[in-house]
Amino acid sequence: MLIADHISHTYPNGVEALRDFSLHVSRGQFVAIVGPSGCGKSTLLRILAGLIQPSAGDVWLDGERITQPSPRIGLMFQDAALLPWRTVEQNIRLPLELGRKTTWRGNGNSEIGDWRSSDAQSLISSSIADLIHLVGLSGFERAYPRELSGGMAQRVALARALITHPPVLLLDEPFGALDAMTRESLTDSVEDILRETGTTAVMVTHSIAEAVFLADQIVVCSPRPGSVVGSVHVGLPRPRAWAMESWPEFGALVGHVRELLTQPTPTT
Amino acid sequence: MVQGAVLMTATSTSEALATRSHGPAKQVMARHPAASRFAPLISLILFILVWQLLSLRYPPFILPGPASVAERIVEKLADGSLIVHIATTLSEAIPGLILGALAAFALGVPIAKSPLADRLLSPFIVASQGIPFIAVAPLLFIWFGSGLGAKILVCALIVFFPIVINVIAGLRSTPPVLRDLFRSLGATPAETFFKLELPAALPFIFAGLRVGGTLSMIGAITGEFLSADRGLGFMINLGNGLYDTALVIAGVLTIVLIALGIYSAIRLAERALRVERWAT
Repeated sequence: MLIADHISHTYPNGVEALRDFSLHVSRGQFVAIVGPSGCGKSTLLRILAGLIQPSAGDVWLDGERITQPSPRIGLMFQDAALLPWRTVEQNIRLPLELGRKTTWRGNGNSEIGDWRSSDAQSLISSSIADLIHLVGLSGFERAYPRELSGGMAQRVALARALITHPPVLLLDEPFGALDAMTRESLTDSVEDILRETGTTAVMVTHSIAEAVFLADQIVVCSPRPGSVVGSVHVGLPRPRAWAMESWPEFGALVGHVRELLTQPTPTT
Repeated sequence: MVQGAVLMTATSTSEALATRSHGPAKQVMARHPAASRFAPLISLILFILVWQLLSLRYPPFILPGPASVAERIVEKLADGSLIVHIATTLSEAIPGLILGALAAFALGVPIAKSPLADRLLSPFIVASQGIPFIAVAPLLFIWFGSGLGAKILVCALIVFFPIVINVIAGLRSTPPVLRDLFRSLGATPAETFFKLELPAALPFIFAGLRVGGTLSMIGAITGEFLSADRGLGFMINLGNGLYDTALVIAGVLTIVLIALGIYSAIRLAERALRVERWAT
């Protein structure tokens, strides 16, 4: 369970990004945070990731306080953030080569001490191949990022985030830079993959439809300093499909979230 | 033979330039492949023609014609002295380039990584660019003798600045989102340097090396002008003293060719590493 407990954050330049923001995410749940630009959503995600320390409040993951980046939390940014000198395969392998390599767990079960051993290597290779297949990039293993479209690059970023089997995945507007068609097919894949792997997810987004499509719970936040305005439970059945967009329930949820977003904010 | 060599290098340089440019010139060339292939040849022939015509109007000690320059080169190749001069100059320029590049790394890395080092060292580095090396080189000869060492040092000093500037700019060019990624993956500082910052800096570093590589010839010649008994700079000086203008021009042409060769070699290394793929 991931808990953000009364988080407030003010940047050194005096900008107050978050005020008393609390969030409870149960295991396997998908929570989307929706809010206007500059409501501190990205700040919140960076705090959850342990990349920055909040001015006040704590983040807990399964009873353990998060004060620095943890191997149990994966990240996906708006920018795919691929290394241009590495192939798709080598980009997905990157997390295993860095600091956390000793804690890599095969398929989430067995701990592998020395990742350089040939046993570990073949396990890793097959694991990468599985992931490439899962995100739908078979045949592009040896392609370089410049040869990929924006959507394909994000698929690589997703596979890279999942290679360490993190129980929690944080997504910072991962579909923000994509065209509508690519968005739909990628959100479809993400929904499938996170459901199959049972990954807990927190996503920050501008798009209400995207939030309704992916999330179990939508948290609406106020303009800066960001705080929780309200929360909407999404009861749509899974697996989700974009055809549901025409369902009355879908429309009602979108309307509800929009209403919360446009509520006049109290002046204090 | 000499003209053949000039031609080859000229073609490869224009290719190197063409791959960098994305302007209208490239589009025109793309539409006229024949023109693009023969353009360097045509401009070279025109150049030699104009040179030949001009040389007819002046006595040879002012402007010798292309033929007499070619004759001088062949003559100096035949008696083996040109090879000795080239080897001497390269034995100063290449170690100078390597020394200057190493120094640029040794100072550029801490400056890029540490604000304190930046504030301590940057003023000296910028100031070093203002040093008139031709005027200071005699000092180096007084301090270090007039042998090979001092000449390598002059080269290293001239080469240092463009490389250090590019090392610093390159190491600072890492996109912030990639830094976040590496932090979130728990990368150690060494991992971040070798797997992220250094590869991301390579296009800059190679740009610095290309400029430095051609400057290293100028460094070597500067040293040889002041004190030498062999080397291309010495040969040119000798030609000047004897009013043997054909020899002077032969020396200059040789230097230009070697500089182009160094440039091309660095460019080849860059291609072998596929640095062009980087463009983020």
